[in-house]
Amino acid sequence: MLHGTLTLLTRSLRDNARRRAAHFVRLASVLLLLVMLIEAHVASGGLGAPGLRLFQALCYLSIALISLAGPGFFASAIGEEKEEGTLGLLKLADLSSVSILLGKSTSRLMAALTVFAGILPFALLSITLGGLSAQQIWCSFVAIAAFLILVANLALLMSVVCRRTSSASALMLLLLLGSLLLAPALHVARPNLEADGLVAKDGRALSGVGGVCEFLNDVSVLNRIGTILSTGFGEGAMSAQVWASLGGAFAAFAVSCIVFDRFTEYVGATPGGGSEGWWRTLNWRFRRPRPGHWPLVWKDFHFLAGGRAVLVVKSLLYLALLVALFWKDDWIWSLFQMSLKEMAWCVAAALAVAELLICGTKIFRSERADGTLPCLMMLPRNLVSISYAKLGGCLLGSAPTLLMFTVLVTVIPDTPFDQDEFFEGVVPICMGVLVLVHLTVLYSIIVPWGALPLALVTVLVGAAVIGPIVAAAVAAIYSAGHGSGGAFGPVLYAGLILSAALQVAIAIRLSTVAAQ
Amino acid sequence: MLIALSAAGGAVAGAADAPESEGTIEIREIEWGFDGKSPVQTFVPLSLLVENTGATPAKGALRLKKSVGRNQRVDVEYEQTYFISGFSSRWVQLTPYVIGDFEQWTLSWGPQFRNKVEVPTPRMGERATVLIAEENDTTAIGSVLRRCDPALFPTSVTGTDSLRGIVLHAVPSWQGARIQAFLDWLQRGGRLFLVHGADGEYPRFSGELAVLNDARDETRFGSGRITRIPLSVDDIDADTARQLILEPQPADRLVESLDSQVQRMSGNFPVSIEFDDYILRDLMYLTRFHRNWWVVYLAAVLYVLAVFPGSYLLGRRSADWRWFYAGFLGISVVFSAGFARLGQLGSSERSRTRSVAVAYQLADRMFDVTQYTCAASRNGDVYSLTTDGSGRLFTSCQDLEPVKGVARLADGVLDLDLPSASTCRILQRARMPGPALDVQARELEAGDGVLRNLVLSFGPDVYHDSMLACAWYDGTIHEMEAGPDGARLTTNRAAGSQFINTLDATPWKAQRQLNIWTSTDIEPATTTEAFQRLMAPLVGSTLRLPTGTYPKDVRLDPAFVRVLLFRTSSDEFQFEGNQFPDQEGYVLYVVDLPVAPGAP
Repeated sequence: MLHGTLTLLTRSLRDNARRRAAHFVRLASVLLLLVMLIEAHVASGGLGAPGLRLFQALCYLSIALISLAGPGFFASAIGEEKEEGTLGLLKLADLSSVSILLGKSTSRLMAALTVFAGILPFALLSITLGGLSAQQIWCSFVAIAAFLILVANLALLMSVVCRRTSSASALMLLLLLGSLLLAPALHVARPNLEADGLVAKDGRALSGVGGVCEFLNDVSVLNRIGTILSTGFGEGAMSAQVWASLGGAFAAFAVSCIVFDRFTEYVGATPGGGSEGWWRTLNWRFRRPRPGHWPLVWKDFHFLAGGRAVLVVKSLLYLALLVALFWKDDWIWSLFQMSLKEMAWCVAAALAVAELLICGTKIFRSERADGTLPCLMMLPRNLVSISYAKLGGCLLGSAPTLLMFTVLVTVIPDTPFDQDEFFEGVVPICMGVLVLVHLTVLYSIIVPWGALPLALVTVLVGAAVIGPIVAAAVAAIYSAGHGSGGAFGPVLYAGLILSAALQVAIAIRLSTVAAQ
Repeated sequence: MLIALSAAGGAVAGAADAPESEGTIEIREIEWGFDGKSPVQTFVPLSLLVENTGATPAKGALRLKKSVGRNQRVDVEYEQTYFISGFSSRWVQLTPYVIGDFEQWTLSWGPQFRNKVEVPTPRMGERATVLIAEENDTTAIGSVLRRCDPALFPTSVTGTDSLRGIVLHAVPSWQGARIQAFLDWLQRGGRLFLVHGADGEYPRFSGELAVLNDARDETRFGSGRITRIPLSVDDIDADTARQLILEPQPADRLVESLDSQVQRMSGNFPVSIEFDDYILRDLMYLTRFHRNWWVVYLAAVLYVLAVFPGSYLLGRRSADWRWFYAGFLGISVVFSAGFARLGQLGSSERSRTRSVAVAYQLADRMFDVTQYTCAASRNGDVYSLTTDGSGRLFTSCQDLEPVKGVARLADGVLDLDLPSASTCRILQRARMPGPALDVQARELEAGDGVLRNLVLSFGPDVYHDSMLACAWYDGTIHEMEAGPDGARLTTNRAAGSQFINTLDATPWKAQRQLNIWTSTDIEPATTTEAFQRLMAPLVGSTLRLPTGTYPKDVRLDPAFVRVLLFRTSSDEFQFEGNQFPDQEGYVLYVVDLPVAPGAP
């Protein structure tokens, strides 16, 4: 019985053992950690516990990468089979749901765990730098491994339940944000909310929500890592967080097995063509005008950015969001300890960045997926004008974001940062976002799924390796008396140069893909 | 995303550490230093006017935190207790260590998240010269001099590092500790200017301050100078103040830019005035637990090779794929055990401290001490560190990483959370009792900028085999030959600026300080030599040079000879208790001997 069940899993594990790419990924992760270790050793002169700082960074980096892998890598396990129409073939081969799930998801989990096992020895070298013990490292790895197993199986459940991979990814992302960030924030903010009289103490609804938040906070991997890395830690590796993660993973896998047939019974190829139901009705009311003189702009505005209907809906939503922020500004301070000004600008910036990134994932991926890239390249226009026309169409859909910024500038004219903070915070973030968007566009032409998570991983890993070097250079320039403007000049130049190089890479890749 | 995750991870811990408080208070005024400014790398008093807005007494603790960049907390937290009666206010003073103008400061009290204010970053400037005047003193309203409330004067000499000079036109309302702190400050080299009061006469002092009643225009009090200016406060205009009161000391005048100094020294980079950081980094090298890094990196290379091409070949060529997983996991386990073993400390390693200190003699067996310590913890623990004496101030001098610790200023205790196998830098100021030096000049011939002869005697138990002795007169440092019966000059001497200014910023590449005349590059072979190498930066740190200057020529007041004795530390300067069983250190004793006793 087990032979058939483990067929797919066995095949995947064999494939993982043989494939060059898998070995190179393991080697790259080991080398990355070695570089971080050397950097930490070189920079350890002025630090008291450089090993602890390095390992802390490694833990948070691992958690971030696992959180990105959830929506990007694990959430497509079943979804890609659904969208490519091959799930039916797997079921025709008389493979059970357990077998399919083990083969598609558990194999990916095993691949990730081997990478994890590969970096454990170098992580233990953090002890040599000072600041923590082997016990702390081992317990941290167990906690993060349990988190990885939980994320993989939760993403698998999303992938089974959701029809499309994008839906599964979005749902997984919301789940992670909610459990890792929102729930602990609410738990921490609860005394503040009660102290300010914004919520009633011991209210029934609040007790229920508060209980859930408290539970999620207690079993949060972040909380567990903080506990492990505190001085004097002497507990065992198996904690409430580990048990809860493993239990949740097992439950998610079990539910996936139970509901697999129900959610995959009538799955065929993903239907193309127009939208359905109320969305179709709404779109009909906002009938698309003729393309006019800018057909590429018209096309991407209506088919990627959503057209006038989405424009109106987004404008109303964003304005409603602003109104909600202004109306509940006392909640903002109690929850996040930020002023209304800071929160409004942060929300506006986050929405703008999110729109840019979504635009980046779609702008060429849709052409590639629909097979229209060769036709596009045959147009009597150069690649640059085609690309920027498409970008213009997508950015037209961001007019509501521009409207939101206009409202903010009018209502809150003071920016929440001074000149130093502009150079120390805004400039590096802008350059980071610029590089991230370019990477997203590039990866969307290379990989079928997960371009955005892959771009985020690249930026995170790159920042972890290059960040200390850039920080040292900035500090040296600042110490020489050039001020924050001069100190962060290299960050600006590096960001622009990197973006220009990525644009060239995108052009080359587009030409290559179009020719295939 | 990393920032959000790490912030989420640390949010709970931060809230749990805040001390309790009772009552409601408001911070009405914030005053940095004596004139609103702060020198770099100095303990600077931060005075807060705290008002109790309720009827019941308010008590608790104020916590001051420092951060750099994007809210990255650094250094320890500073805590000062308060007790304020209902509907009243009083000044509460903390004395944090200010490194530069890039730091941001936050003050909080109690666990309530709203009990928080952002403290403005102090403006950087030179040490202050201020007029001590009460807030309601109308006679000094028109003064061009910066005023300072006498209530803001620190209660210990350790809080006066940012004060250069004081102008008095009336007797200040000081008592007890403040008078002692003032006299100590003056003894250490403070500049006191006495001017006419409202009655047209100099102020008349009594009690402990009666020593200021000397009628001469210029008198000395230890290394300090008292100058009488026959003008009233209102008569002192900006030019007069600049010429008579704010005129810098000779050592401050002769400075030049860094570029011209590098050029003059043929490309050798002079040590900056960051003596504190330099000394603490050197101590860290002495304190750290030993590791065989070449073995570690060799093992690291072997592991990389085991992963690729080792496990790669295993996965590609073995007939059964399961061998790959067994082999890969086996490699991981073996090397994990090996690296864990390499990272462990030897059984002989103990928690330890290494320290150097500058102890300026205020009186017999009483010193104004600045102590640099690096502490290393073997197994990790929470330590409560304190020493004998009063006015104890602590900092970790750290602007790169947060230090889990609280400097409890009221009790003079540093609570420090040290992870296992980690180190921590500690800079401490204190007024401490010490050994009886009894340094006397048996023979002293000096004048016209030249020290021709000096023979010293000192008390029993002062001499130590590894002791170094120097005498600094005017612009020259003279090496002395020390023995059990005293010390006398040798023929070796060097310009003061050359003595303190030729260190390369990289540890272990510095010229041996007392062999500067032979210009030899020597790697310290012993711990003793490593400590002795720190004598020059310690001497430099005593000068309190102006911000951002690189002294071309450093001269002391020719009215006295500065004797510098560098020897092993005595028990009085070590941390109390046996939390650190291995404590080792050196002390630079500074004794100023008048060339002509009693003369200005």
